[in-house]
Amino acid sequence: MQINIVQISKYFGKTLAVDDISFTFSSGEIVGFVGPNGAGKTTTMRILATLDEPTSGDATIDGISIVEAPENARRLIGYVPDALPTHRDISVHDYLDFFARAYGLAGTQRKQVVESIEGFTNLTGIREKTLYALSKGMKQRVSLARALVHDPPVLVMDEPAAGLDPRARVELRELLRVLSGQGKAILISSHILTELSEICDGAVIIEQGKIVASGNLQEIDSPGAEQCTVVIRSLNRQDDLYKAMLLMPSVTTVNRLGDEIEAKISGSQDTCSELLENLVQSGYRIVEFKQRGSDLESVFMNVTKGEVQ
Amino acid sequence: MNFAITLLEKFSDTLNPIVVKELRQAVQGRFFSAILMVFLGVLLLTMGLFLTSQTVTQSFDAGRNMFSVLLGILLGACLLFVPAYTGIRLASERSDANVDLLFITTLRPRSIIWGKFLAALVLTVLLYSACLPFMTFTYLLRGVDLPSIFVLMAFTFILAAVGIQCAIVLGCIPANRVFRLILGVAWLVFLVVTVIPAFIALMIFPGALFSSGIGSQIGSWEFWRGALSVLFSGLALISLLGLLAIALISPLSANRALPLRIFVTGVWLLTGVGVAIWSIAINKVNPVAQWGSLHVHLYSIGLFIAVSERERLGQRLRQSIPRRRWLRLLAFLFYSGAAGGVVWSSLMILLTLSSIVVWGILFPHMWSGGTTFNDSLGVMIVMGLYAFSYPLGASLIRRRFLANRVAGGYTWVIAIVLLGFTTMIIPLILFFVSGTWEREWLIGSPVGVTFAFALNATDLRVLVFNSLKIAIVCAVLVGVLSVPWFVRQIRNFQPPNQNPATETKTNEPS
Repeated sequence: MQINIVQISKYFGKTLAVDDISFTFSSGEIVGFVGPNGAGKTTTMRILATLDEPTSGDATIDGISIVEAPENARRLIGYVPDALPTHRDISVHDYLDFFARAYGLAGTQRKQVVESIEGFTNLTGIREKTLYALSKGMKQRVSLARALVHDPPVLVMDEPAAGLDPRARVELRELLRVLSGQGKAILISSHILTELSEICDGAVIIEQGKIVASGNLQEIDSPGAEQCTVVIRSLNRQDDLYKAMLLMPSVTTVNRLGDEIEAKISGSQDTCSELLENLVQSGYRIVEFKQRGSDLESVFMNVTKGEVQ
Repeated sequence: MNFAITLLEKFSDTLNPIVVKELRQAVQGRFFSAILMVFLGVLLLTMGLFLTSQTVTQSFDAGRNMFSVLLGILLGACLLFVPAYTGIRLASERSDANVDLLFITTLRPRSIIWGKFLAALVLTVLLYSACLPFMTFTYLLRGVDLPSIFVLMAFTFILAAVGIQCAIVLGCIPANRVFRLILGVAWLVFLVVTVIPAFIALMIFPGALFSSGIGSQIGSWEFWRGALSVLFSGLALISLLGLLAIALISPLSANRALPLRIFVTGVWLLTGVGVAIWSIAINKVNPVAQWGSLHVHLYSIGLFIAVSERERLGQRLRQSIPRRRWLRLLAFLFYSGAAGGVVWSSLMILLTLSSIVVWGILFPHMWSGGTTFNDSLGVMIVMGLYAFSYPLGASLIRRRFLANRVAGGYTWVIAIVLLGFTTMIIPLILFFVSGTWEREWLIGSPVGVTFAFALNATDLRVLVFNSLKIAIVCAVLVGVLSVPWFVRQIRNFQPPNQNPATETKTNEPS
């Protein structure tokens, strides 16, 4: 399943909140949607969830337009908003049961689905509690459960980790991995970029309503270039290793971080492999040689200017 | 036992999800429980006070008086609390900052609106069932018969249902918090203004009705004619408001005007036939005249709404435009779109006025009393012409001068400002300049002739004639200036791929 966002723009009065943005993601992918406050993330996600209509442009989910056929698109999208459910006078179970009914589930199928979702999101123990009595983390779980109740192939999640404690964040990360493994396409926005780095296959960075970078983190960090960063730790001759690395033609920069050496290598995976082979043959006792992925936080800082609309 | 549970579960599955949710929330929440308790307390207190007074043993009208008071309390509760509860909840669910996610489920807009209505109706039934034992008890106190009790309760129930539907429409209006607050206050003022006179009327009207008792009239044609008229009007109003609310929450790309216009045209035709028969039966023109006046006013409001509709049609709507020319012409009138809406509303006004002219020619003897056929028709024509001129003039001004500043959806605001200018500002300036008040200063506004007609003014004919001249000039002027826009809109009303040069992918906000 392919989700195409095509030249979407959105005006609020005279303010251009989203400016002609286009990107694509597919089933099984987790894509981070990041940007400063007021960049247009929530607006884009609301448009994708059919809560708002774009001023121009469209998005399609497997060819179904969210503008022309929002009723059909809604069946395919699960939306987790940044605002938590505000109903004061309904229990968790009744809330999920209502949404299951609203998506056309009936009889024993509805019962089974609601119970299974409650189990999956760890809500079984609190299913009879009213929503207003829940903590923020629990409300986030309810929100996620509601989005999953009709088993949508696409999940759009706006700041799902905001306000969660460390344990809840880890659990959310695990849930997302499971959902991605089930083949769901997930678009997720968050300000906690280190966490996004760990689970995202790619990222779309937006600033002032425009996309400033998109793709996998490597592509965003060094567009067009084939390079990688490696961290090396040797048990002997650490000073010699540092000097040797400086002289190597494929190495562009070298940093010494305690007993570790971080080097940027221009070239493919083969170049890294050859480098390791050379070092071992030169008598260095290498105990660690690992490739470091691009860090979303640094990528974000590199490509954005921190301007808001 | 298991069979009963299975049956109940199957029944639950067939229920509208909104009804289930709303009733669960009403039962689990505190607000409605508190209202019910207070309501029962007030009924008990009123009944207690009444029964302990001496009049109850001396008067033969004790039951009637008690019933009137209880009916007033019931109507107050049903017109104030249930609509407020429903409307406020719906408005908060549709707040622009936090739209409830039920609106992005696969529930259709009509399921949402009728679900909300049905749930509110069930709450109203709950209040009625709480009140019914007290009401029936009044029968034992003399002065009221059971048919009167049930008929009046049914009548007030229809009134409460209309109130609920009004609140639902208000709750669906897309607006920011300030506008919603203004609407809420206006709604409260309207309720107070209508509920208090209704309460007073209930104190007096049933008295006159009870003197003979509804039970004695129940077999007469007069009773059923009145009852069926109330029932039909109530159902028509509830359906109209329901369709309006559905249109308000439907996606912008949907053909939101189609069901509404088909329904209103159908009601126009049915009520037209109905009042014609009624008019002949009583040999008076009043039903037809009131029908005409009502419909001219209704389509005048329709013109203000129509000019605020979207001008560029989306792909979804265009895909449903028929390819046959005559069908396309019909679709142009009924589909969403500013130009089509203006033509449809104007056509309906024209048809209504023509029907009255034909009626006047066929049955000239029916016109009698203080006003003549020409006066009555003249007022309606002035109203129709101004209703055409103001919104279309506003649309012209917006397109020519304010295209980048005011969105199409707010054209009605410009029209209201224009109307306010000719109705209030110009007459006030003239009043302060000259120091005297002349009725002629209102000839630029439909309000002048309407007031003069309502007050049965002696110079009505002169005022109508002068207003008519101005209204014709205005209508012709804005009509001629709008011709290029109409032509462009009609040309653009094509299915996709027939006119690729003008195709755009813009979803203009309405």
